[in-house]
Amino acid sequence: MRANKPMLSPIRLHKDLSAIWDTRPGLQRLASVNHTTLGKRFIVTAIVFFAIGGGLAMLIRAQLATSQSAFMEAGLYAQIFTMHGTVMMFLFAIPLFEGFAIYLLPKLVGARDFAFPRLTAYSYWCYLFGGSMLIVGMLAGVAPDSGWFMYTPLSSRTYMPGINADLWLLGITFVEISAICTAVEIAVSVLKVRAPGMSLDRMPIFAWYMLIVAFMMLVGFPPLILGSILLEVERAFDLPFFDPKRGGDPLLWQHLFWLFGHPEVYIIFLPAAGLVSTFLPVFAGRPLAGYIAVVIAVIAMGFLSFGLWVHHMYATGIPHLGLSFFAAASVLVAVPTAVQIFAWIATLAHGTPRFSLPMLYVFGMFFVFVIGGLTGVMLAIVPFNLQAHDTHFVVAHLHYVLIGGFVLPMIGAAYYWLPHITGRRPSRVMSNIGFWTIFAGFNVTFLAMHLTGLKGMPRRVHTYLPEYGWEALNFLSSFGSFIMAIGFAIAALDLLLIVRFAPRSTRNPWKAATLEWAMPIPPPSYNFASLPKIFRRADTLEPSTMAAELAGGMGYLAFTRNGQMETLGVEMVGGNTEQVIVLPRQTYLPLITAATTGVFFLLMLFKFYWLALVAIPLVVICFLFWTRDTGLRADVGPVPIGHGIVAPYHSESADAPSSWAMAFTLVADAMLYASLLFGGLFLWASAPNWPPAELPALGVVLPIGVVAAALAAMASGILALRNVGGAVSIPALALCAACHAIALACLFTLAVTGIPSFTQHALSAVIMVVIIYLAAHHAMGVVFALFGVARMISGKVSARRTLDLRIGNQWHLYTAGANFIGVLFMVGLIAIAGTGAAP
Amino acid sequence: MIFPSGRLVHVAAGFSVWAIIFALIYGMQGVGCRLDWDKVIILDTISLQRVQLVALYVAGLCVLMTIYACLSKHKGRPEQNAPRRFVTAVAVYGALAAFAAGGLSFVGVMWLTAC
Amino acid sequence: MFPMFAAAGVSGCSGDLSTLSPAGPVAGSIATLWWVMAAGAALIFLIVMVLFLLVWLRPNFGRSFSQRAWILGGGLAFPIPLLVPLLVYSFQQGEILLHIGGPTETPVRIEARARMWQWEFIYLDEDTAPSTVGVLHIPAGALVKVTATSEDVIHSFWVPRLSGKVDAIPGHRARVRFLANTPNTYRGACAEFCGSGHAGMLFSVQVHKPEDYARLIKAARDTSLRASLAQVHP
Repeated sequence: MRANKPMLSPIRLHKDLSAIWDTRPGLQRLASVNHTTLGKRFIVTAIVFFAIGGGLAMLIRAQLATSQSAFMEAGLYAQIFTMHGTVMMFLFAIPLFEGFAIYLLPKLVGARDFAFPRLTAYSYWCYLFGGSMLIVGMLAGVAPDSGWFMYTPLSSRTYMPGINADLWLLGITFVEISAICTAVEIAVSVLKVRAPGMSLDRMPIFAWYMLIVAFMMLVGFPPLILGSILLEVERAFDLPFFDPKRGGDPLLWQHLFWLFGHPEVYIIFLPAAGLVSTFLPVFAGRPLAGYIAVVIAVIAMGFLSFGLWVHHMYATGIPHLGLSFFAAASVLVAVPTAVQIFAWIATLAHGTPRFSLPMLYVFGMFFVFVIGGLTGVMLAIVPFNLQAHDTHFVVAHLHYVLIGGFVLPMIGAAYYWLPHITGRRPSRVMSNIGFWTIFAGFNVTFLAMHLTGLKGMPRRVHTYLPEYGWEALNFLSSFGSFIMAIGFAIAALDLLLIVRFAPRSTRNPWKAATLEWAMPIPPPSYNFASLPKIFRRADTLEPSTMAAELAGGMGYLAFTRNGQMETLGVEMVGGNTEQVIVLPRQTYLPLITAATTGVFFLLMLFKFYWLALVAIPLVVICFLFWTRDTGLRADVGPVPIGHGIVAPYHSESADAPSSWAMAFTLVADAMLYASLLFGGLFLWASAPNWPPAELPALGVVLPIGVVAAALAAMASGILALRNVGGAVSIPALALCAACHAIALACLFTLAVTGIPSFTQHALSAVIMVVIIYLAAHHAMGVVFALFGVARMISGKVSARRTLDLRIGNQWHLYTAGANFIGVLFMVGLIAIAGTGAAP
Repeated sequence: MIFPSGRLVHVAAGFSVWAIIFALIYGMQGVGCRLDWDKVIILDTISLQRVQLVALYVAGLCVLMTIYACLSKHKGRPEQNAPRRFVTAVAVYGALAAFAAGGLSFVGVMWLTAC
Repeated sequence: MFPMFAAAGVSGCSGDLSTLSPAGPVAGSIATLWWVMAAGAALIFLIVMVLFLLVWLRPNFGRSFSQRAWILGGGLAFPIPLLVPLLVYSFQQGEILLHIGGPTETPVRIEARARMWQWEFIYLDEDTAPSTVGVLHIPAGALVKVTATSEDVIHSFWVPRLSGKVDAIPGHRARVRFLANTPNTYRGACAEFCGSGHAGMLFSVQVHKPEDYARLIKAARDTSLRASLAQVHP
């Protein structure tokens, strides 16, 4: 760090920054937007859900411990195993790694917070409210009971008339909103909000993992969101997407679900692997081996994981050739996994490994995850899969993967970062007992279960006859599971005792070489009193010396300015300083917005559909309130950041984070759209009872009108941006809004006149949903255009401050493209609907 | 030169194309079955379905190879700074891995039962 | 004749649903595949764990190989030569099982029709397509082709000792071909969760000597098999 006379004393700097950044006490905690606070909230909430999910698992094991058990009847058992899977996947695993990422990432990359702190808070509240909906439903006895995979037609209204299935579809979609928000947050922040000098080749490896995981979430979650929307629409309004009698297909649900469901496993595994790649080198005493190989391996896993979803569907009668693509990808994904594992072995081989508790959990991870990976390769093999599929062999396999690949390394990571989070030092004895109890209990439970499955025990049976020879194995599994539960209880108690009573830890107790330790522990709300300049790979730093220098104000932004929360934004690849990002202050808006979103979901759940329609504009209005604090009313120009360097505020930057956030949101949006179009084509290719008796007739005028209006909206948006400050600008944006409104009117007319009853056949239903999708985009287009007008009138837009208009134009451009493709799709699907022999 | 040098998006180039080929081949397999192309015999025992899928497979591998070749040209270029060199290396090896993955992923089109 | 079936139907021994005691060539070849894969996996697991423990607990053990050699060797050279042959072999085995019996042999065609929560088997090759509920009759040593479909939700037809499973999906007709070696009774189960009756959705497969099967079918044509067999196994 270059010598630079600090302007303020370290104490004064700390006080000034704390006054701005700290979460306020009392009820004002609800207004917190701080990533450290929110990360901890995510982690704690996820652990609570883990306890709930674990309790449900105990009930399952109690039921199966003996044959012909009278403990639970079938219906209750179905609720229990459905909720166990749902809670563990959606309410525990995803939020837990999100919590770690939210807590750690800004610290690891040398930033004071994420790019969009309020979005983090909104994401947390959505998660909490959506998860609570499911738990309250369970306590009320109406928990979902069609399995966590919710296969149609079992989950359709005919066979599940209660609100159980709606609770799953709506609650999980609510939680998925949280996941999408977090993914956008992480992707943008890793790319744009880092310390100066932290180029991509110097990033801590965990940031690479999370960058890739964030993109996987953006691409992987929309298919499930779409599937949930379609199924909920089928249940609520009888549009037959999954009903084979009316041209729908239950297999469409399976494709959408597993197109999410399998990448999901890697979305869960990779963050845990990233944490291990961060702390294992510390105990090896040398930096991670094969940094570039690991980055390539994670990218390869990210992509390959999207090519294996059908291995959950081998028995559905898909042609052998079709299965072979997925079998190949399922087998291939083992290769980058092996690269990853041997990078860890290489790191240890060339280091001087130390024994420590987190490493004990890494040992557990190796042991358990390698077995899970090997049985995974077996299950990729089609003939074997046809025997093992839907038996307890798969239950054993998936627990080996998820506990070995996620739970154990996450507990290891928790012990590793506990001194950072709490400022206290872990003890040893009880922690070791906890590990070995979990490890022994786990293997007793699930190693035996492989055999139970091979001996023919199907999944999700609540009872079995003694003559099948499964009783001893099941009893062993149940016995082991209670040992494992005791182990988790010991580990939880241990963590709790450390948090409350352990002695204070020294700074950087593990002698790590990453940035998160270059700060006091527990960390101050602003992380770094001044931001570091990075000269080498960020896992080879000297945090102890840096901590003193940064606290002394020798880095960038070693001051406060206008009571603003400031951090630095960098150029993506090279990491050169590019902008000063001004973050929003503490606010209740995320809470209010999430509550409003929750009202929408509750109204849907209780079938007040018209009122739910009213709730949507309310959510949009809430979000519009978010913009009140953003933007500048006058051009400011570059401002100093210390060391004689200046940088513009993000609102004046050509490459602000929010425009990337819009781009990535549109990636997720496009994936949702692509899934919908794929669904339409899939129904044509696969579903019975095609073609419909009556085809939709869209005509020529309206489709052309829609596309023309969408293009005109886009063009006037561009015109407004080109003439910012000129007289044309505001009228051009008003025209843009008008064009969106015209397109909306065309689509409405099309829906009313062109489509025969959309409950008659899946073709009409799909086209109806495409029209609604486009209409929703035009409605938002009106909002964006009018918002632009309002910003110009209020003086927040100038030739230098065009961010709001550029974001709007991204939307108009996307909408125009979506319209073009949508019209082609609708016309094309109707044209081919009658061709070929129906299967 | 098709690509400008050292862009971040290149790291995903190879596998993105792999994913597109995957979707295309799997999609066309379904479309071919729907339209009974497996029953349209072109030569001896070779059906139209087989021909179009093998054609897609070969074309896909050619595209993957081209991407690898184009990205490789940037490798080791002196005007690149360290971050750009890193991004290029990830892109090149990623494209190579995608090519290898493509070769194996779709090899079933050569002989497996298509419908 | 019918009492004979009835007696066979209730007998059941331990391992009735075990994939590890196959009673036909399809299940047999999959069981062999399992044992080969299990042995291979055990060996790979041991190698990885021993390496991990050695590099962790024995300093300097792995230094003689460069980091690059570790990663390329362990990450590429170790798994790829094992995985690629396994994959190609499994494709080939999949083809063989899919077309077992070859194009010449005519299978006994049966439709397995699932509904909540019972199985109905329809003998498509016979006049008037008679059916039985809860019990499937097939001849020993003959190729059988079961086409599964459903009247309500998704179920899955599975006789572990004879072959892998095939889903019964409304609107779809998925197929599975298999043979049973010897006359015996085998159990079958629904493998896909299908609601509260899932665990009880069992059935049995009665494999007869070909001449018995022929006599049974003849009897079925003479009297109404549908009614009489349903009576035996409600």
